[in-house]
Amino acid sequence: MGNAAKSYGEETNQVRLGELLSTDLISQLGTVQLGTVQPGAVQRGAVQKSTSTRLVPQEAIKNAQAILKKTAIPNASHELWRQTAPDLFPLEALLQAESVESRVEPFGKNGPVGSVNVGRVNVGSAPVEESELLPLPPGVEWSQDAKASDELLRDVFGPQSSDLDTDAIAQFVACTSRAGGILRVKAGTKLAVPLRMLQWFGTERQTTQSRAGAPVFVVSVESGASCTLLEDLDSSVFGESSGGNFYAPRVEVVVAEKARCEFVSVQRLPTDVAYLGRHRFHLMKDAELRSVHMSVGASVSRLDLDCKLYETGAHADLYSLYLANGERHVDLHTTQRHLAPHCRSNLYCKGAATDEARAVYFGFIRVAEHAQKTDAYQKNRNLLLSDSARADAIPNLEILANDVKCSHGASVGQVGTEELFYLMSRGISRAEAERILVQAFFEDLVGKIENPFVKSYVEEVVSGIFATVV
Amino acid sequence: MSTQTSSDSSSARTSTKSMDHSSPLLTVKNLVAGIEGREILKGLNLSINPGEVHAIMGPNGSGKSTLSKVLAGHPSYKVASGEVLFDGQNLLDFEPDERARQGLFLAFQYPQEIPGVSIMNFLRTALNTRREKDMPVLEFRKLLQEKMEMLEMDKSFATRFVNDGFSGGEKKRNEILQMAVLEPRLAVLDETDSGLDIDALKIVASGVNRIREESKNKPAVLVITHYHRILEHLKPDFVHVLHDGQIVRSGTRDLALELESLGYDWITDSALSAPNN
Repeated sequence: MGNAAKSYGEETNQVRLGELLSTDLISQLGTVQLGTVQPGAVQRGAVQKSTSTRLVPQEAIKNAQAILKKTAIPNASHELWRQTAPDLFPLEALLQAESVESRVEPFGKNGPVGSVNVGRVNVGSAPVEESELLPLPPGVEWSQDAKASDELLRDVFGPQSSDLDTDAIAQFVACTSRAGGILRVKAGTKLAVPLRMLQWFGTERQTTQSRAGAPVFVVSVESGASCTLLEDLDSSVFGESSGGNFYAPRVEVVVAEKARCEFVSVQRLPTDVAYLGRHRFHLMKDAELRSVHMSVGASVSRLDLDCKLYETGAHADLYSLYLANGERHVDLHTTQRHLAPHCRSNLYCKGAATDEARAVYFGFIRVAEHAQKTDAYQKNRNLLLSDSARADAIPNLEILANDVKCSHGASVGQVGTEELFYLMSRGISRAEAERILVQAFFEDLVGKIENPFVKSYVEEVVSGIFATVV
Repeated sequence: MSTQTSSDSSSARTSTKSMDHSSPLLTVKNLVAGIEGREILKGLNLSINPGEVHAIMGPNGSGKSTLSKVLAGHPSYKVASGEVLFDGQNLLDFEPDERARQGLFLAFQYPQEIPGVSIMNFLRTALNTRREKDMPVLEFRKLLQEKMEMLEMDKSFATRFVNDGFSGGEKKRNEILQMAVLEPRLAVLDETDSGLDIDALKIVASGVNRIREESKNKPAVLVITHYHRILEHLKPDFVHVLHDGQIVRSGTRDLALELESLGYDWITDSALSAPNN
């Protein structure tokens, strides 16, 4: 094995994960630090000391190991991986993920004005700019102490993750995860300042070592609390790397009774990184969530966004934007799970594809049998900006209750003729009108961000990226 | 009568309203046009002098909106034959944006929603296409605010996305706001009155009148409507009746009143017996 394996990158010739994952190796996942896996020479169980935190509880790892022993890593014929083949992701790089670390200080680059940095995860050892570390506001706690949050973690990775039991890749990522942090916004705390979690992917010049990491973030917005959280995925790139970089963070956000959370995520990783993100939101009674996701980076990007409405009165507004340019492949999978009566979820996502890129949207609304009076909405719009770009939209409904209001719609198209005509009829040239409309396509969703500091920060990021695309 | 529907109308005009200009602003000659292979305008003739107010009335399907779309240059509408001169130039040779910069303005019957583009940025961009040097932001804000006050629009409209989530009346008001800022030479108001209640209609109509009074070059207006109501405010110099793609009757404001009381059947029946009066 090893040498005969297909390569996924141009310069690497690494072994496939499926071939690597022997029963023996699976048993060691998540328990000891694995040695570096080199092409052609697999060293198993070469223990290295790791100071990184592991937040995934032991039971969850045992469960994952059991699943991995009987379930093969899926290939492109698997229902959930048909649009984005698993071998686009260098999963095996996670076996050598010793370079991931979590820190509380110092931070790379400043975030939005007025924001407070809560914690940073660093992938790779590239230097970062330092910025001022402000004390956390009262009622906010950031820690890496798994023991202190035992109950929360066991809940999130236990019963609340049972839907991932059929997903071998999710189980593998959970086993290999390390680093991250737990953020608590304590009961009744109302925060005006946004909190920022930075994930920094450093890529160094002329490194031969690929970088990989699968950190875990658990956010608990306790009852009656409200906050805005910015997940900021950024990087410093110092020259070309050898590729094969992989980042697979998992974010679990619990919004407790009558709590409110605005969650904004900006993923702008460089194009030598493959990104496989999993964001799960757990909403309790009368909880409110507003999420805005911007996926504008990475060579291959897949985000699985799962919103679970557990108890009555929960309400989620889920907005997403994804941009596929160059030869990038961008995939957004969403699930709105209605598990209780009288919950509302409203999903609106937009994608733009240009050059030779491909964008994928795959969405599910699932309504449980007893979740009567559900109000669920799912809308996906795609903008094609070149002849060779491709966008797929695959919306799905699975409704087991009989008294619900559910609708979905998806479209793929070019800049609208009527919009273009309207702008031109006011004297604006065709080229300028097209530029305005593409920008508007983005701005519309950025406008959904409520916190003004985060909004203007994201506006700047998006218009910067936009300027290089259109 | 100054605005005959025959093709030689421009030479025969005697209107006192246009003494300062010797030639018409808009001349439409034997225009045949349609959409998706359907011929809708079947030899339309019309002439408008600078500063005049004309009204075109007619039943559904007579070609009113087709005329407005053809004038503005909508890509779906095709001209088979005929001529449209705007200020002596062949209008049909120009792209929609060039027509607009030459001074043609269309207030849409169904204004387009453009989420993501604020009214402020949209209008500033549009205005600056007509200027050598961009208008400074502060100066533009002041201008926009003035015009919004005139149309009794809330200040918050400036930062809202163009027509996004607007009521029917707000959309129409927003069209007239654009007319006020862009100061066209000819404004085509395509059923601007539809969907407006009496109060909103008054605000919009008096807005149009004030734009005309306050502009350096009093714009001509072509009002396309079903109803007499808006004409009471805009007081057109000439009223034309459009039927089956042709103007079958032209007259003064009295014609609109006649139409109101007798209905279109009266005019279309007589049109059949005596086409083009």
